[in-house]
Amino acid sequence: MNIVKIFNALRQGIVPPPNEVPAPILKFAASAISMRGKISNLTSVERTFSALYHHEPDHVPVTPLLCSAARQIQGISFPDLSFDGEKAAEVFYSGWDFVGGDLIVLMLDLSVEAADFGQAMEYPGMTTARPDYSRPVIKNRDGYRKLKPVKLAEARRMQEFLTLCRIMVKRVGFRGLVGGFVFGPAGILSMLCGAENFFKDCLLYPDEVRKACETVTGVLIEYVEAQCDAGVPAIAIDTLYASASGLPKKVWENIEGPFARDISNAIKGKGCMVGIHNCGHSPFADVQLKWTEPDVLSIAHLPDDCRDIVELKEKYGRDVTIIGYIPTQLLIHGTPAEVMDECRRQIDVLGKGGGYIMAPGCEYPPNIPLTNAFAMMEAAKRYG
Amino acid sequence: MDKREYVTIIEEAVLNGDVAEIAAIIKKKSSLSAGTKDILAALSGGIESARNKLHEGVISIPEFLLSIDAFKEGMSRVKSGVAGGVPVFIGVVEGDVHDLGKNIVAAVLSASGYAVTDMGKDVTRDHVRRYIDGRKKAVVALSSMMSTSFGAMKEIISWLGETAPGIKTMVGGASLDLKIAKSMGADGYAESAVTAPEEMKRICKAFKYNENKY
Repeated sequence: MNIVKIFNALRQGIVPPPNEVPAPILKFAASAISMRGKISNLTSVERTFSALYHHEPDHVPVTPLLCSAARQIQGISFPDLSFDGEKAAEVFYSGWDFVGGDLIVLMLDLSVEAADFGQAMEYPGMTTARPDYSRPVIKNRDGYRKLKPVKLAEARRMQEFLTLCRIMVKRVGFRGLVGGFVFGPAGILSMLCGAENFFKDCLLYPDEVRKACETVTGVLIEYVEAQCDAGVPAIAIDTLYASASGLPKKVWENIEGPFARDISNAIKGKGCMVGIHNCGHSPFADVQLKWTEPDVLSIAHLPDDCRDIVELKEKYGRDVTIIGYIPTQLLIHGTPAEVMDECRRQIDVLGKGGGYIMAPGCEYPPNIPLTNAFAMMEAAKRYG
Repeated sequence: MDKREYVTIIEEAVLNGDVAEIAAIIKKKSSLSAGTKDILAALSGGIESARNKLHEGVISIPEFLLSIDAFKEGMSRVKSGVAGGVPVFIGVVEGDVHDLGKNIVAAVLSASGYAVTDMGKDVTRDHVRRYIDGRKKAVVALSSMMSTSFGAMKEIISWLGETAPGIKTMVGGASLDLKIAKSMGADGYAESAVTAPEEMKRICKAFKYNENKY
């Protein structure tokens, strides 16, 4: 228990790193909050903590993961979102202020780290930033060993992201939980050489790929520690390729598993909570939990070893808090009534006994109206 | 080595994603009775077998990609003189550059006998117009992983419907489903590379495209 850290956070008006508080105290507090939730409304922080420690709050917490979709509120462009931490903070804050939510995950786009590793990028006006795959950093097998670490202090986009973290943590204060975000080393490498090449190289040249993972992870550890120092109480690690959309399970364990563990340990070392986000098909929840021992699992699809939502709750609901998994397609195409029906279905199973935060499976689609985000908020209040 | 054994080795080399083996074995062709048709059948058999194993979860996407490389290596060595099937123009729609799924579908359709032309990524209506080049019958296959490309995808489909009604469309990608595909006016929707050949076959049948007559 680091009393100085907790006191400093409280003095600054921000949520302290949760794991600096001994677990029995947190569990007792969560239980007491849950009891109070039966007779009165909870705050967002109370609601989320209650759920995180597997007690039912007044209603399930929600994070609509508005992310870049919230740029529509103030008309901020995608390039500004990528390059300007202050404007990005305007986007995330206005999204939270306008739609609501108990937890705000600061997911900008997946190219932040790759851009700082020197990957040529495109910054289109009407979609998220993306790598220019015609100019990859890693061009061949040797490129993995040649990859050089970057200095965090000189990493423009990661620095802007840290600015975003600092502003949001201060501005939201005790009114909500603000989570950081980092793309895993395998995902970043796939942006430095193209996913197709990366997948094949993982099978053909695993030693080279692991070497590059080591280089990237060194920088990511510094990056997540800086996010924790900026005041976020939790960080999500995106391990996209631990799924049927990515690498075979054993290959993922060999390539990214140990490095994901190192990043997770760095976050925990700062007293913060760890989330795993994976929007791939049939995510390998078992090995991701084995390597990273997260507090939270955010998914877009059922894990490969779960037949249905009931099995998901039974198998993983005790060990982690589940975040998800309202389908993106439903948010795009569904009516608010259909979205609310799906929310109710998930709340009924996943919300029992706490351990559930309702969210889209992946970020809210950037260019669609925000109507269905409101539908999610309403569903949590009505059925949660 | 007899012809049967030779064909089996090609099929297995494709399934195992062994590019070097494919190159070596096809070089031996002249000393055997196997003809171009046999080799093509073996290559297609190998990739079809890999596709089934991907469907069953026996192999993963990276392993399937190696099979595609082996298949392409083989095709590049025997392609000349092969008659094409239904022309398919495939691309990732403007606003998106994720072409992994598109590349896999292109290889699978090619293995299934379609004359596939890869339009690349960030494909606009103008690109499509240039590629179809006045054709009356063809299938334009469009993919997108990002919901941000829906507008561009819908625009291409509407434009084709108005200006080239004989050209049919098939769509796919992580952010789509059948309902969204229908709402865009697409003629078909492939959930994955595994189901793409069946869906393409359905489109050709529905619109009376003779798969053997191109």
